[in-house]
Amino acid sequence: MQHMSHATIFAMGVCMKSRVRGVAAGMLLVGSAILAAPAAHAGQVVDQQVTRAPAPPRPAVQMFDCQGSTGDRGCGAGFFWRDGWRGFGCYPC
Amino acid sequence: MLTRRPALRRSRLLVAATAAVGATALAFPALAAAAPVDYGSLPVDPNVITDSAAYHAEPPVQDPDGKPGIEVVYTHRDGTRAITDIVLVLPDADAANVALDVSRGEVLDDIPGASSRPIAIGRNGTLITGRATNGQDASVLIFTEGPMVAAVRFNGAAGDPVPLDLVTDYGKQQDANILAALGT
Repeated sequence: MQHMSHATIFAMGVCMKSRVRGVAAGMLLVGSAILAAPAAHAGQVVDQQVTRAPAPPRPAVQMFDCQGSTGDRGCGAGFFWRDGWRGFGCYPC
Repeated sequence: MLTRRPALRRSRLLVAATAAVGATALAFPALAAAAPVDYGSLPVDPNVITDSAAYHAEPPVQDPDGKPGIEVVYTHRDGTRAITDIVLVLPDADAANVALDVSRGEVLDDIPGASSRPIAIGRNGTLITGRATNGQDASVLIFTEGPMVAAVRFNGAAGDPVPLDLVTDYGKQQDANILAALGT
């Protein structure tokens, strides 16, 4: 302590005070949370229903026509232009 | 190319079709006198049903094998599909039912392992589908309406069966033509 200046000692004091204040504030927050928790749930009916996790998304299926493109002559994906039982038209692949 | 078979073995189907003159008089009373009856209004043109020009009609056969009725074969332009339409006129509904049973047995003989199920067309509507003995996919619609029995056979290449909706559309129109001829 002999080698410390007054300024240094003063700075250490301020730092210690701020640490104590921070710890105390943290304790207050934790305490209030513990105290508040039961009060918040008081009077509520416990929900026994199992919450199901959402189903994983299905993989998107992109249908292509019989040539591997997205359709010919406006038939659209999954259809194929050909001369079939109903004459020329769009038929499913 | 399509190797066309008769829609049904005509002989057996027509064996059940008897009393030709009486049936003619019942079905077409205005034409029942001496002149031969023209059943040309009975067959269904598949080009009308499909709204296309895909089918070529062969000349109709009036009174096939001497039995009252008509047979028309419609061939698809690509040569792999054919529709054979037979309508026979019998003395009464009972005779038509007998003819229907005969034709059902005949079709099942020709399509081994075929599936047969009822279909809501006419009376006693039945659809028989399967792989015919000649290797083609075949569907045969048979039904009666009053004294008439209709048998429509759809022949396609293996793997190209006729769509059910086309059978239904065709059959309903066939039934409508018969009802119109009967005046009901």
